Amino acid sequence: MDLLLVGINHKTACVEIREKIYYTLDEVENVLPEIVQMFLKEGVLLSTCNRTELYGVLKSEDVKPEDLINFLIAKKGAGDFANLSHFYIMRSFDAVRHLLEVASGIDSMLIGDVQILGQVKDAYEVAVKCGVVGTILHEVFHTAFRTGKRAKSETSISEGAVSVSYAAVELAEKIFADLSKKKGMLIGAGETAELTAKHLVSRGISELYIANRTIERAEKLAEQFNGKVIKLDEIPDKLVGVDIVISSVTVSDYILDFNQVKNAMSKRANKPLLIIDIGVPRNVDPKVREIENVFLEDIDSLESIAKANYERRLSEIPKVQHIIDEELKNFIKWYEAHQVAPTIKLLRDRFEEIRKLEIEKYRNKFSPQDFEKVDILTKSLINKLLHTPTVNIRESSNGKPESERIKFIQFVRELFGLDQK
Amino acid sequence: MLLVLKIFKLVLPVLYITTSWLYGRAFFKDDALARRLKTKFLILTLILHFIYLAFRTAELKHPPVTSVFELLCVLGFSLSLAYVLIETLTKIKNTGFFALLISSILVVIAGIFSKDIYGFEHDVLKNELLALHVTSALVGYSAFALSAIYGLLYIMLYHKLRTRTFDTVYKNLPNLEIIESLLYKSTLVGFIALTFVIIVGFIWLPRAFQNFSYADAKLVGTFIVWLIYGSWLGIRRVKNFTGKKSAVMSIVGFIIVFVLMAFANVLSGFHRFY
Repeated sequence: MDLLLVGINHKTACVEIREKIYYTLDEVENVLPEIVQMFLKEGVLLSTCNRTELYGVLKSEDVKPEDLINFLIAKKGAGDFANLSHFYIMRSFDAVRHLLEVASGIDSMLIGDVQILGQVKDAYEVAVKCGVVGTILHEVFHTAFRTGKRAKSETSISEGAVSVSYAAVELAEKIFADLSKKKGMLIGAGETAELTAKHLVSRGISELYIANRTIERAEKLAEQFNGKVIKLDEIPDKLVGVDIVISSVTVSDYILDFNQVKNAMSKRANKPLLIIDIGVPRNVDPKVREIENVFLEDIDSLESIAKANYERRLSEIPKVQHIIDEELKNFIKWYEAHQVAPTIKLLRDRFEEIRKLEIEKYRNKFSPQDFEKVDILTKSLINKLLHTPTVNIRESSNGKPESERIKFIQFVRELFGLDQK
Repeated sequence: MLLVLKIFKLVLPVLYITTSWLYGRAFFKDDALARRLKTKFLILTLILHFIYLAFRTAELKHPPVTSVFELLCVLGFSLSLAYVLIETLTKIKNTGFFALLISSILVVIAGIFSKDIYGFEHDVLKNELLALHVTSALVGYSAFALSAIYGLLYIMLYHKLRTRTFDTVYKNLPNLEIIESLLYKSTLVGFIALTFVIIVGFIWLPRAFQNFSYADAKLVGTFIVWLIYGSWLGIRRVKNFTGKKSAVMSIVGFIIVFVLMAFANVLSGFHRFY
């Protein structure tokens, strides 16, 4: 198969180089027709922050992969940063397998990344829009979509939070059934704390109070998250009404001590309270953990959740590989079925089968000697009838591009119903 | 025909134990095959069990509720049935292990001790009110068992969150709030059913039994159980009996039910049918 892949990813180049070769979807729409016109018959350019990969069916044997790589570098003016050594080149079924691995998320930097399948789809759709997808890439990419979907639904490759901020949300969802009926409080502002608050807001948390030493910062966050600013000394009072507290301030003294939480708990009818303390040094007295129905978690808990989830994903890789093997096998089957020789053989077999069935019905109506003659007669009839189609199918492979040949063979198979049994 | 019943008596415990094993594999080990097969296996088990109960009723000419061991067999069935309904309604698919374990134990005990006797051994049980009395008792005790199971799951998850053990079991449990709400709902169903049991009992028992006595161990035991659950449901809001406390309560409640009923069965005068 004349399928070729040239690409750069997080395994072969650092982010400084990758970002130089990154093409936005709009850029792809401009560049792709040009590349295809120069080198290819079909092409799809997949570009994300972790990878830029060009899948193409070569125009002629004279085209070298290096030409494509140089074009990709030159077009972005990245000659000072990237060179051939940052790229990998794969051909034929290796290239297909690589795409299946990408689409199923096991080639990602973060194994099981859910975004990648969407990005592969986007890249494919842009190529379709440019009119540069033919029979081969159509089949290759649809195999990839199917593989990605299967990996997601049949394995746990993308299950569980693997970042600390999502782990905090996952933890909250282990305690509370419906976050949209809960209230949160964000104390201070660190990167993780803010991200966690953002995720909680996106899960529809009903109210978010924001307390910060600098009022301006609090107001800015309140605007961003549609929250309410409160003063630091209001925290113990507000504790009665909220269900999730995220704290991340740099103070030497505890923001919440044992008695404050204890009092709040008796006032809030002992309803469960989740406190996520990611401040350094810690913002909440660790003794708080001993109070019934209070769940005090820190950065270590979140990290161990994320780590456990990630390890679970890693252990799913063999299952995904198994799906890839199956889908690749199907793809190879499809490809081989669209070769000339098997198609001719199938066509002749089908005719022979019909001939045999028919003359068998008349076996008793002829004497053995006559039957032999009829057998020879029908055989030569079939041979004569099939001569021209056979020659034409064989010639279809001469000098014609592969995708056109596949199209022609697809037509023949449909015409004679060769794919039905 | 008794042979068919004997075969069922052997097959049912095996099916229940296999189903529990599958649920256990899915819950503790995250086994993919067990996850796929467990619910199908449970439904198969329940269908066969139902066929057994129907066939047995037709063959022996009495409902399978005329001795303690027949009752245990039906109790095992109704507990698993209640679980599978909850699984379908809540989409929480992993937590059946404990319900199935209890069902298995009940079905095994029933399989060993129950006798296949034609007709009614105790003529007093030939009564329409019996079905009502016994069915609500079954619903009630299944519900209390389920509530204890949710109590156990609550405590497991509570403990895992406190000790930061984020393992497979942690992953497979639903959240605390849902567990508590299921726990509360099953307790409520159990309490209502038990109230009904007592009312029907008071109508039927004095009429049916010559030696009826309000001081019978079984009546007193049931009344104590009713009082315990009733007062818990009554004060849970007022006294903040929520969260971990309600989980502990549901387990303690069920243990009391078990012990009281075991004693009551031995001590009871007229209300005894082996």
